[in-house]
Amino acid sequence: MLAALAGLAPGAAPLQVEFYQEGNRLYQEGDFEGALSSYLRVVEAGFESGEVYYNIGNAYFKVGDLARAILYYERARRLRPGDEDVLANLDLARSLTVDEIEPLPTFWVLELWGWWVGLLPRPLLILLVAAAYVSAVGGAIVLVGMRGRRPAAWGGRVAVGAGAVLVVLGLNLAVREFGIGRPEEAVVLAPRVNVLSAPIEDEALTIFTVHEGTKVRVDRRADAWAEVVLEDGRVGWVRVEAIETI
Amino acid sequence: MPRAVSRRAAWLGAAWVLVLAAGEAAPRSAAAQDVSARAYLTPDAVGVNRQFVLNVEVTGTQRTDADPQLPDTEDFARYLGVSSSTSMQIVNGLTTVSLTLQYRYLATEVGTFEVGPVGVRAGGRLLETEPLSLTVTAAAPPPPAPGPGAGAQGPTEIPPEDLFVVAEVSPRRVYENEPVVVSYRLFTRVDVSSYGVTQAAGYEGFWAEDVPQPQNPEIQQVVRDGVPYATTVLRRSVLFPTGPGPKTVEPLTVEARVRVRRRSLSLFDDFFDRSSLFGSLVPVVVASEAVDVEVLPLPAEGRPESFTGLVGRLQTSASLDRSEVRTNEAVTLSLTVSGEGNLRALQPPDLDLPGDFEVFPPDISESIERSGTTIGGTRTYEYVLIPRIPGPKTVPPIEMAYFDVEEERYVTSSTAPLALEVTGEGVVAGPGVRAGVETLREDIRFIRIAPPRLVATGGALVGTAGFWLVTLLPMLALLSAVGVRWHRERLEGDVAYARGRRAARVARRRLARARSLISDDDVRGFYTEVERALRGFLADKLNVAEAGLMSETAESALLGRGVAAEAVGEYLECLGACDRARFAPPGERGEGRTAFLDRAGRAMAAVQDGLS
Repeated sequence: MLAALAGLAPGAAPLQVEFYQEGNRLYQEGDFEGALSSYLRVVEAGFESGEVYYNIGNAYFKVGDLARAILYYERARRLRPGDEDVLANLDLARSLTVDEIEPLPTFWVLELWGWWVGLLPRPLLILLVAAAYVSAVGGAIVLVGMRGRRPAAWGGRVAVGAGAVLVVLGLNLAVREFGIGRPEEAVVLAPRVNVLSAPIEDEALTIFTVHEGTKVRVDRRADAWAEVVLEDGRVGWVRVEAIETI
Repeated sequence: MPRAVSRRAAWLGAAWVLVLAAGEAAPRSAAAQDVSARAYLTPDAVGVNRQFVLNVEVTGTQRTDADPQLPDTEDFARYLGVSSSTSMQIVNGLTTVSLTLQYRYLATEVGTFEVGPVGVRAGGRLLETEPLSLTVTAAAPPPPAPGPGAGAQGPTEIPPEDLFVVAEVSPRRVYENEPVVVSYRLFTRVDVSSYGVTQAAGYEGFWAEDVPQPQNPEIQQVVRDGVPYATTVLRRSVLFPTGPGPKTVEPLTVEARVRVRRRSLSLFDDFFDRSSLFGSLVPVVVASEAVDVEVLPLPAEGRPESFTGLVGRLQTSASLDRSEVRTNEAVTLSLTVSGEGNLRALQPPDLDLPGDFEVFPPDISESIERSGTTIGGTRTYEYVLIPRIPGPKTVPPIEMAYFDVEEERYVTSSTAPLALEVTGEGVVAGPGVRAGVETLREDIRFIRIAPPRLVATGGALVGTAGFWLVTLLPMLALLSAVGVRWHRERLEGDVAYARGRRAARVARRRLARARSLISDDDVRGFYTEVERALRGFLADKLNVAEAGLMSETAESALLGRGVAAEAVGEYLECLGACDRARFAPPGERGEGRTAFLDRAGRAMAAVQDGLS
């Protein structure tokens, strides 16, 4: 039952798993290009997982495409927020990019909230929420069914405890599932991009330039333009084809 | 800056002279009175890139105490050189001596300039000349024929076609870092007694290697455009463009001293002017023309990782000075690179040695040969390796890539792997010999191998079958539990409800008992059971005492609760039939009773339907 909860086992995709393992084999043989195309077939077939994104990031790193490596590490981080390997490789890849951007300090409450939201891997979180829900309802059933008898008191306690867990973790899950408060972020893919003060094709409006691999926040879009915010708070417009959403 | 050096020496000399002068000031003071200085320009109007002379004439002495302080002319003229002459005149028994210093300049900017006062320290006094005015005009470029880049000027006219410098550049279209050979050739039809390069060509954007020229330049006789010339190579350089784009080889300026035979004005002059026997020496400045070179970028396609920029040709070989070494003893790895190209700028390759070797930066030795048109040679990198861990080791192949211009592609030269047997014992860290773990290089962490749990991209949790299952099933269970409890509580608290709920079950039980009596002889028993079932059902449903149930009250109560009149009639009919049959004689059995039982059951069902 809990496996069904976690629910997310769609018809296992044996073919895609095979592509993944073929990619692993090629990667270990040093054929990073081949590994990359094999991994990408998994994604193109409409599947994803933190591991696949992480391995794609590694393969892009090995073939020298730093920007896409960062893009895929960021995608892996979305799915596996606390994964040490993902964070380590992302840090290393970032340290090799051209732009060194001093991020603005964040309010500690927001930082704490971000930490909490990303604390548990998604499958575990789903499992916990489902278990809490079932326990809460089960406790309530016992409470109702065993009226006045000893087990009823226990059922009530279980229902209250599980209900509290459900509220806390369910909120976390809901925030993650519906992307509440999560900004759209993108990675610069073009080697060098002029950031303009307005969405108009005019070199003279360039206010600064960014280079590949830099992460930006996308605040809004207008036709073929996107308004991006750097981690240090600078704002400008770039053409959408120069960036790719994480 | 030889000039600066000579001036400093002269200053020291001047200080010495002053010391001497102090000692014998008295007897010489009279002579010092007569010392005077003046300056003049020849000519005072000159074309740009032409030579002019600043003459400083000091009369009354034949030497200066110090080199004159020359005006700052950097804005419009370049200093070339100095010559001096002295003269002595005896007029009416008075001896006049004079010294003339001739400073040659090359005018570089158009305009009118003030040549500031010249300060001369002579005869113990500081003399200052009047400032002069110089007009530099935009002169027409030197006549082109016959040679390009010819330029000759000076107080004495040497026609440009008689003396010029040509820069021969080949090829003019090269790849980045591909050698370009530049030869500066002096062509002359006049008698050049000596020459010197006054301004070396600027090689901005190039890495330049000079090809050494013989001490005694080889003079060749050539015919150029039908005119015989004597020619010699002034300088030859191999240039390596450091980046793509158009580049310019700047001109080279040469000052030549040309022996000129002046046409004698008179026998007298001829007799006294000694120089005319040999001709007088006239300085002439000539410059080559700037030459443009187009530099193509190296193709990015197919560039090997080990390519460090060498364009030309390479062979690599590697050797170890021994094949067996103890741990912690040095072994030398020699990497010899020979070939053509800018070997001097060649980056040492990265050794991809196993981590248990300590590698020291290489000692580099080279022998570069600069022959006529190519530059090449051998460069040797000697790495000292210290193995730390015993065992058979291999120095992996060292790769160096270069760009072959003729084939226009990248070629990688690779050495053979070298085997090395390391004997002895490895360093064992004992107590007190602790050290931090050294990071040899940084790399990303390894991929994930375990098969992943793939999910559909963008797959939301909400909406999946599992989600609804998990959400709704417990809810249903809870709802049913609530329903069960409500029902139970009502049974306990509401007698009428409890009896109503129970009625059908009790009646069914009684009918079942009656059915068991169908084949019996006990007619009374059968009908009594059926009647009790019917009556009990009605009493339960209406929540009245069974004993006090009258047909009339039951009929009105049932009709009042919405039961159809037919059903009520049938029900009462059944009750009446039971009453009658109980007292009827025995004999009727079997089918008649079964039919009646069914009829009673139907009547009960009809009333139940009507009540609910």
